[in-house]
Amino acid sequence: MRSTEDPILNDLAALPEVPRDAAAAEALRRRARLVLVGEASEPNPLFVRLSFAWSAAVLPALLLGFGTAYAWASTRLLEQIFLA
Amino acid sequence: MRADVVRADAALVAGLRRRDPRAFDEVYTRYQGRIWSFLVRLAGRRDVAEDLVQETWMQVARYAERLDENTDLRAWLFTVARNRHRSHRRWALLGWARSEPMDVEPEDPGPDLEDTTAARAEVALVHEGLQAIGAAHREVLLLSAVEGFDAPQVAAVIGIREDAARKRLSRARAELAAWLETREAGKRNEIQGVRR
Repeated sequence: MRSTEDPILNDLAALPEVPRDAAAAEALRRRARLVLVGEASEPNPLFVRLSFAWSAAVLPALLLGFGTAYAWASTRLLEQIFLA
Repeated sequence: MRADVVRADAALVAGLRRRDPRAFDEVYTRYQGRIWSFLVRLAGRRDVAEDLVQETWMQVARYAERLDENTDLRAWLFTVARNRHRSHRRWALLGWARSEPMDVEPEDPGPDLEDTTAARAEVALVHEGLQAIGAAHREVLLLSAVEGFDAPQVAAVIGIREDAARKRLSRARAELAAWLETREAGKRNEIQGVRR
């Protein structure tokens, strides 16, 4: 879909490649190569994110929920003991 | 794309399916610069692009042996990169993206085109405009105008119909043109204000 007549598309086509740190690129190539040949396993990004979601949101929500339920049940029990 | 490049890519796909590290090295050498540039411009930030480019190449390495022998290698690589960015945006919306600080850090201007003496002012302005338009429009412009994919390839990478890809490209170009026009008008008004 390149155009030789549209100046905007031509300017986009003329955008130069973004320079990258050669050492970082080489390190990534080596790591990916190890994964390719099966000498290293890389954690699946989905599992990494689910794990992060578990520790950042689900687990705190569960703890808060159980804590609230426990406090509420305790209050009710104290009411029954001392106010009944 | 040239026939010899297509043939070479087909041979590389065959190598990747065999988990041949030399084939992977060649794929990496051939495409890592383009994938990196695509992700930096798509994400608008180098730190995010660094995460995404790592995820992209790890996924390429992980799934290489499952490739179909007729796979369009270049389109597949950009599909993986584009999907990594899409996934990142989804998680960022939920606030669960790994690069949490990106939401509070100042915007990274991306590649510093002013340092490239050969870069023309118009090209630098277009680069700035790319960052100002919506992500869906940015990706279609990057794929078609910058990377040179044709409409069926863009449609395949994005996962939409070919006519929808053409329409989206047209709307994206219009949005960028409108931004450039507004920018030019602003500059003209600024210059006139200084003269007065």
